[in-house]
Amino acid sequence: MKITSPAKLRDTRNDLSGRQAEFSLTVTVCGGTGCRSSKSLAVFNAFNKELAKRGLSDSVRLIMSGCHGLCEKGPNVLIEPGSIYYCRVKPEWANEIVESTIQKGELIEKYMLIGLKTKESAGNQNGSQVHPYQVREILKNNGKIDPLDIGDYITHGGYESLSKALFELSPENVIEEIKKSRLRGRGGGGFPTGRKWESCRKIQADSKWVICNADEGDPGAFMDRSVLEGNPHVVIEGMIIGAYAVGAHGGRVYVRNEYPLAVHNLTVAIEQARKWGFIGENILGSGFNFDIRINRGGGAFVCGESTALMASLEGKPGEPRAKYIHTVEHGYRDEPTVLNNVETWANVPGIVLYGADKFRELGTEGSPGTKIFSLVGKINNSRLVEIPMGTTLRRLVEDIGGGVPNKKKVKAVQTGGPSGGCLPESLFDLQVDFDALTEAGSMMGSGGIIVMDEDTCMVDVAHYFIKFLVSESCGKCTPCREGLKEMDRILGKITKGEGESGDLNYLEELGEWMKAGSLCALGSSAPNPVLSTLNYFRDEYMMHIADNKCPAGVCKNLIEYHVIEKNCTGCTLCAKVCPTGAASGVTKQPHSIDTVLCIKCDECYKACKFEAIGK
Amino acid sequence: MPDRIEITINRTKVEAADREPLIDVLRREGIYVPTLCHHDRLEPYGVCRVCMVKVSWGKKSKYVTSCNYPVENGDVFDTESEDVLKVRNMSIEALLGRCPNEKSVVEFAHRHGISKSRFSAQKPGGDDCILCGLCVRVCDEIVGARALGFMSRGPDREVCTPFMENPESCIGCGVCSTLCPTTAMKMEGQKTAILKSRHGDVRPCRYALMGFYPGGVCANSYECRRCDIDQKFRELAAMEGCEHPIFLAREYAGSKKGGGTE
Ligand SMILES: Cc1cc2nc3c(=O)[nH]c(=O)nc-3n(C[C@H](O)[C@H](O)[C@H](O)COP(=O)(O)O)c2cc1C
Ligand code: SF4
Ligand code: SF4
Ligand code: FES
Repeated sequence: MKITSPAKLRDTRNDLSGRQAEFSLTVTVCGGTGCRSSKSLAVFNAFNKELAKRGLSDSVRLIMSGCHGLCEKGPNVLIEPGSIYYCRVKPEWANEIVESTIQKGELIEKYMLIGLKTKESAGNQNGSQVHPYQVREILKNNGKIDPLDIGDYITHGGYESLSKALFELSPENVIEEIKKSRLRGRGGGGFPTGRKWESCRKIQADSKWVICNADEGDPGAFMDRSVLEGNPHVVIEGMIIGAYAVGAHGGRVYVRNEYPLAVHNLTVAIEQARKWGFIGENILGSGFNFDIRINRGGGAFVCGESTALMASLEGKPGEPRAKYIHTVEHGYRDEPTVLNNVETWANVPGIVLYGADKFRELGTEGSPGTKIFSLVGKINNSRLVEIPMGTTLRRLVEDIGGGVPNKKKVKAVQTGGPSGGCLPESLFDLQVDFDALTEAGSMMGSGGIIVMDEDTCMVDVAHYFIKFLVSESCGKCTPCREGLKEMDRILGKITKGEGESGDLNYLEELGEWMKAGSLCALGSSAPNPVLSTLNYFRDEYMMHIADNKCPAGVCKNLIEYHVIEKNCTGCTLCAKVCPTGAASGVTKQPHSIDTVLCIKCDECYKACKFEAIGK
Repeated sequence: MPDRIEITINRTKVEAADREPLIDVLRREGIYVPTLCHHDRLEPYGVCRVCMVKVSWGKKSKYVTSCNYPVENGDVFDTESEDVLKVRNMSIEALLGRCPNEKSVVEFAHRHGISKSRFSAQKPGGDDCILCGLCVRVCDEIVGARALGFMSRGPDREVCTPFMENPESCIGCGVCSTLCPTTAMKMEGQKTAILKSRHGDVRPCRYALMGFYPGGVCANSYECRRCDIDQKFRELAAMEGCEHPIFLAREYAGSKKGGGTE
């Protein structure tokens, strides 16, 4: 069934909405990758059976949606209206939930979201109970719509923006609006999207391309995956509008192979969009042609870099090249190309439909809009969050993340993925946007945030990221290849207690050289973990070198396990868990540790309930 | 005719063609900047980073590689200040650390005032290869054989020789070892082995495979160094200003680019 005009689109939407209104309730089971791995499919099936058994299948709508962002608490089930949210749902609960909540309208408190340790988890005006302080613009339909049903997207206003762009705006008008919105690329660099589109528009060429970067190579990041899984059409719609604006007729989505669900949902979405006439020839009867194909990436981190991505798309080795000749001019297949990140594309339909001014109401002057972050590490509520740009790190960590578990003190956050920087707790009032993070020696990256507590050694952290980057550098250019290897070696020395006085200056020299001299942004941002920790935690480095001490008690060569006698109750637990017999003692008397036998396995430290083991 | 533009190099105004590679302008003006991975007959690659200079526009500035930077009107270049030398020399020091025992690398570093490196070598005893990619690129772009390639990532990156990569397509011309700035690319022994093993008693002359006289057969057991044909083509190439006869062969064939590339 093809929709051939804006009027037909509106009719279809009314029609579909009418049909949905016949349902009194909607039960949404999260079908994101996280919830699926905690068996949400079984939950879905249980509800399906339960509803059928009670003859409710025609009045209660049951759907499987994309990621709700609370993967840790999954499988999650949302019941609308009422925004009733049940977490860690078991298939056996379906019976009770359908009977009490769906049939009688009663809440079952014990299944509700009580695990979220937020200060004011209820009734916050900035967001729902489930997502306090968040403003979910991009993710608003994640968890509401069935990503495999284009009709659902259309009922929620989908493709209205495309219709407006094609029939009410010229390509120049669209670009003007995007420029006015000051939308900046969400893939990390923060380049103004409107300006990129404008440069591409201006180039005369028979063939141009728009590409969606869904490589998402940062370990632990899953923002783009969640958008593609939960709401693939918003990305497709953004790409069609972008293609219309710059004059492209071919689209590519470069998505990592490790995202099978995202690839599947996107494939289905593209097929449906083609069938309904949103992509293909003569879109909505406008005369504009555009089609999209999916390419699966091999999953190398560097393949997310624009020129490497395009090389990889062309079937060449995924290595970056110099960008003095811009990809908007000579990109994919040497033709003019606009490459944007998943989240960037997902912002486009909203801006075109509601206007740039509306978009700029959120966020900061220099970085308007919202941004999705994945909040992980030593934090109570690991989750996907969407917040207005300019939200402070403190709000993110303490209010949204619920602080650090086990009564530990928070020490730092690492932002921007593996080549981002570490910011100390003293900077938590920093308002997160592109410029503020860069100024502080870190970066936005794609939006990964890792929280670290007082038990984290910053030298060890820097070393961890450098080791990741060494293995991901393509090795083409000298500074990145040799510089990372050298940083790895020096940091290894320091964590082993073999650091020397000149090492820190040498690390800084290496860092400055790599920043100035590397071919691509992998190499030029790679020193960030080292330079930022050297800047904010230099004392900690110094203690490793000068005093042979690791204050956080992480670097094995620099710690010695001992019993703090005044705390020891002689409970014998340490002696019981010690695999070598190094910890020993008489019941109810202070124990001791034989450092010769000790293999520093940390078992006694973890076992002791009285903080009587020191290291 | 490309548009003429004006740029500034070390405070002197210079004319250039719009988007001309900076290295061409520098050479014309007699301003020395070292290069390692650059070759006039190959596409610019920009990986050794020893050719870096600073370009600025008002307050904004950045470091660029002169071998592939296209100059634009108003660019202001600095090729000799201490900052610039520091970035450049660190790349040289890194390559010296990588290849501490490779004669050409040691000499190159010495010429630029670097005799010691703080960098450690990835391989015990050091590497011979600086990963400039000249061999891989000439085999692809000029010869068209694509017998060479890179393997592994990061510090483990290395060139794979025809034995590992693509021995079938190697024509044994040896231009890879001619262009190699170090002693890493040793083709001489391998190439005869490849030709001998592959063709049994057909024994094609490599000048035939290069395209000079198709069908020619070697009568000399691949002792090219003692062969008149080899001598002749080498002399001819030298007279025409080519480092290797293959370039001449490609010029005869009417295109600068090799047959195999698209
Ligand atoms: C090493 C490296 C990895 C990158 N990985 C990604 C990625 O996974 N996803 C992404 O959208 N951008 C990534 N980028 C940024 C892209 O190069 C590019 O700037 C971006 O896709 C442009 O889109 P935007 O303007 O919408 O951000 C990466 C950059 C570098 C240097
Ligand atoms: S900076 Fe690193 S990843 Fe980028 S081209 Fe150089 S070696 Fe490859
Ligand atoms: S073998 Fe020689 S030419 Fe090839 S990359 Fe190494 S140094 Fe360069
Ligand atoms: S000569 Fe320019 S980077 Fe190697």
